[in-house]
Amino acid sequence: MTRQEATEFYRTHSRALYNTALRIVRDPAEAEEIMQDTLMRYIQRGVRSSTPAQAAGWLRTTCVRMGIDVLRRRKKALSFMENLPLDEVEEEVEMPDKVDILQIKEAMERLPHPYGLILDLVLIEGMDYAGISRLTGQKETTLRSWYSRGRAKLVKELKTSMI
Amino acid sequence: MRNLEDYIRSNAGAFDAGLPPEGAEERFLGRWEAGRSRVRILRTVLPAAAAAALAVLLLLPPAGSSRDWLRAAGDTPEGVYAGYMAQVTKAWAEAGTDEDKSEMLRNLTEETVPLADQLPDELSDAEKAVILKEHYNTILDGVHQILSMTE
Repeated sequence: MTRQEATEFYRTHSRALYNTALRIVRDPAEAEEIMQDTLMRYIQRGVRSSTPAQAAGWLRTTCVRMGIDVLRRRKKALSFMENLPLDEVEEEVEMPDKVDILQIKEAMERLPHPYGLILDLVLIEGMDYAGISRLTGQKETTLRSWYSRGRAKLVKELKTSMI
Repeated sequence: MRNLEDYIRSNAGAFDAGLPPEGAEERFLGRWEAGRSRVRILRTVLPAAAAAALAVLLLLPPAGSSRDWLRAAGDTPEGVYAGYMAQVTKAWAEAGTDEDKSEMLRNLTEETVPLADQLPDELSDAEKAVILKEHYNTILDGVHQILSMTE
């Protein structure tokens, strides 16, 4: 890889990876480190991806894994997760009228983990429960329960912010 | 009323609006340059390490028998790596056609990026050698356990 190729590689992927990491660790400096570690790992391991989408998928999964590792090291979110009550609400959640994407983004940032984390991984990163289960070591039923509760908390947060 | 989840999914791109901190690209390129330099050094060192590994291979007892390789490995990262590789080579030979053992050995000993290449440049060769010995000795303990397994 030439310097020019490395620069293009960085410019193609850095922004999405940085935002993914930032949503998980919520610290700009740590998010940058995760983003850089992810890119370097791809290069150093000589990952072969036949399509740009495959490369982006590998990078995103690695980035999420590294972000969750940071949370584990902090021993906040994941130990906190274990004591949460489990329940699940299956019905669709209608969003309040006159809410835009920026308000939703800000409301999600205010949600504590694991609620913010699980909503991010499912809705924005597009991951399935099986994949999240492998990364976090949590059962899928547990993840679904947190997701349901997180979704309800998000709507409550949105309604509160509109008052 | 719109469905909240569908709305978020269809606007997921809007959540990537943040820009990396100033100077992030330069820092990345700095790391990339440093990584490239290490690879160049490793490519220079590897042929010598391979020759040293062959020499050590001829001098050492069988892989499962002792930790003598540590003494023979010396105090340089190249020497330790060569000594370790010699032990791994012996272990592969001992595993023979046992596919289960070979698979376990492969999983245990394969390194995508050798640890020697990941250690910070600030460390001296002697300091690196100490770290490498501890690391590879732990792996070789596992290697010996695999070799001693019976069906």
